[in-house]
Amino acid sequence: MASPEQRKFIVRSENRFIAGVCGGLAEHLNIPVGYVRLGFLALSALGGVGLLLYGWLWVFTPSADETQADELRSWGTRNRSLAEEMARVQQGLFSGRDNAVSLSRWRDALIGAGLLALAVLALGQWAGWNFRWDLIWPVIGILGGILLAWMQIDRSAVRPERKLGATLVIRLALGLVLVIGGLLAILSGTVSVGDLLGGFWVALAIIAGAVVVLLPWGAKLWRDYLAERSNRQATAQRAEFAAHLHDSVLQTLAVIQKRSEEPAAVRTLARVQERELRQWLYGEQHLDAEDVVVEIQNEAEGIEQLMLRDVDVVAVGNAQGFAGQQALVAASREAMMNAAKHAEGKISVYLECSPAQVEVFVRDRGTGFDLGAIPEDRHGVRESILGRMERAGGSARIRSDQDGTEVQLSMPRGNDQEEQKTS
Amino acid sequence: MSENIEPAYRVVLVDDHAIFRSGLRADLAEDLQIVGEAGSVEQAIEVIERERPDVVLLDVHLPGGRGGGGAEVLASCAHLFAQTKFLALSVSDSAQDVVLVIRSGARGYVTKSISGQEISDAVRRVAGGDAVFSPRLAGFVLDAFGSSAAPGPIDEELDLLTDRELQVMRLIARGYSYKEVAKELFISVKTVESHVSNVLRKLQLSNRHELTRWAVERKIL
Repeated sequence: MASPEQRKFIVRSENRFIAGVCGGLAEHLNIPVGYVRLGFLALSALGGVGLLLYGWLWVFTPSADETQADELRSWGTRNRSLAEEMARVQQGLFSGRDNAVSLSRWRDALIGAGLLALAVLALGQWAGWNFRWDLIWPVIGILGGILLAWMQIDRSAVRPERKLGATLVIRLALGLVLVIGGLLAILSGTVSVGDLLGGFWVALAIIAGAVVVLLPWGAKLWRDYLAERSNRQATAQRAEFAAHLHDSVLQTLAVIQKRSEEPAAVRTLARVQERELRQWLYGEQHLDAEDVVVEIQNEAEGIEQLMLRDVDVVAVGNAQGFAGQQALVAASREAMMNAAKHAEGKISVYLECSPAQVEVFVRDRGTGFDLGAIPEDRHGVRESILGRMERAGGSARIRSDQDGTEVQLSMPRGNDQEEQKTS
Repeated sequence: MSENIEPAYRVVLVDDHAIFRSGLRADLAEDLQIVGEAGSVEQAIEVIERERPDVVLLDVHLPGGRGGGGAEVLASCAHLFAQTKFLALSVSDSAQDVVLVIRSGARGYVTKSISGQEISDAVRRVAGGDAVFSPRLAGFVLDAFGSSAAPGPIDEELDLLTDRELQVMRLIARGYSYKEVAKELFISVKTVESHVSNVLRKLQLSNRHELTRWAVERKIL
């Protein structure tokens, strides 16, 4: 339990019947929530003071959802330690969500209790007690309207983008009608209908005057709010950039400084970093992660990192979801791996997706080898490239001479699960 | 190679990074004489007008001017194209950069990571009137024009690559040098060069619908 000096601000709790005020207060004061609820009930019975207090706290304390959303917003842009990350995961796991289900049952019970109270009142009326129904109904209406309207604020605070949903508007309007109707009903007991109508026009005039005078301030407030919000977004974006550069480029530069004695490693580090940064800045966002182009680019990148070699990938067209895609990517990887292992110089990969087939060419500048001279028991080329392609319905050819080796892979695109994007 | 017989070409370097310029200066072969350097669009136009070099090594991303970078320099120097050839250089090999400078009149495109030997060869090739296609540029061409010779009526000669040109492009995209392409297709290097130049011309002049659509899809034009 929290010690007094690190007592939390009041945050309306997830653990709630109506708005979580009691739960929040209980957490804040560190006493069981039941007592707080009893206290509020008792205060309400004393001429409604409890109700006023409840409303006051409802309006002026943030809900747990809101504070969480705030936290989430700042979370995305900040560097964090492992401990924070762990704490966050735990919080996520053990936050009040599991309570919510059991609470909805309690809320039903609460509604039942309210209806029961009404029934008791009705019974009392029948038994001859004299209630001022003309006052009780309006009060119930007003309370219900307030409840209905205020509940929406909690809901829209969490997801601001859904602020203008139709249900929200309907509920707000209903709440407004209930409250105004209730107030008018109470007033109509003491004021005549004619006066009420006159008063209505007076009220309208007052509101109109206030609006005219205050409109500029309102507009200015709104503009300030918008400016502040876009400012915050820009800051967040900048923070994201900084975080990305920190995680990638700065780290790589540090490693490069450490390994400055090894030109090959430095070169590869620089290249891998360049590729990653470029991908991040203006990567091929128009392609899916499952696209064969992206998959082969990923494999090439992996080989660059693993073998410290340059692999250039040039792709024409794109394709995904064809039958032999997996085999093609795996065979391409094997071909690139062989080139990286056995040949010097740059490795060129060319990938062409035509409507009928997908072809991959992997070329190196090695001294070449004789395919026939490879012993039968060596699996590398024969099994993982030629065999794999043939089993998947494609074909592979290997051309090798003193200028280098080229592995040519071809996979037909069946029309079965075709998902062709470009024409 | 018989490089020392070849005439010395006069070269201007345009790049806003002084470090890169000095590196390039050290990397370029002896027979390439650097007669000027520039770091912005205005400087570049001025130096090129004054020196009338054979080749300009032009960075795609340049400060100054109206913000158009290398393409703006090309547009301003279009009247010099007969004498001065432009070879575009960039750290980036994104389609945007490549296609824009080529369409603006550059005779070739290389990335900054290429070796001194390669870039010297590229400069000589451009100075000799040929085009320099990197594998990636060849890939863009195939992507833009469609990798198969399209059927149907040919409206305009510019709009389609011939079968031979497609073959050449495909081999270049696969990482073959011009010499290797020539050997592979049983043609002379000169023929390969003329095919590549033709493709470059088509790429620069074609208004082919598909090319435009391809470019728009990638937000190039």
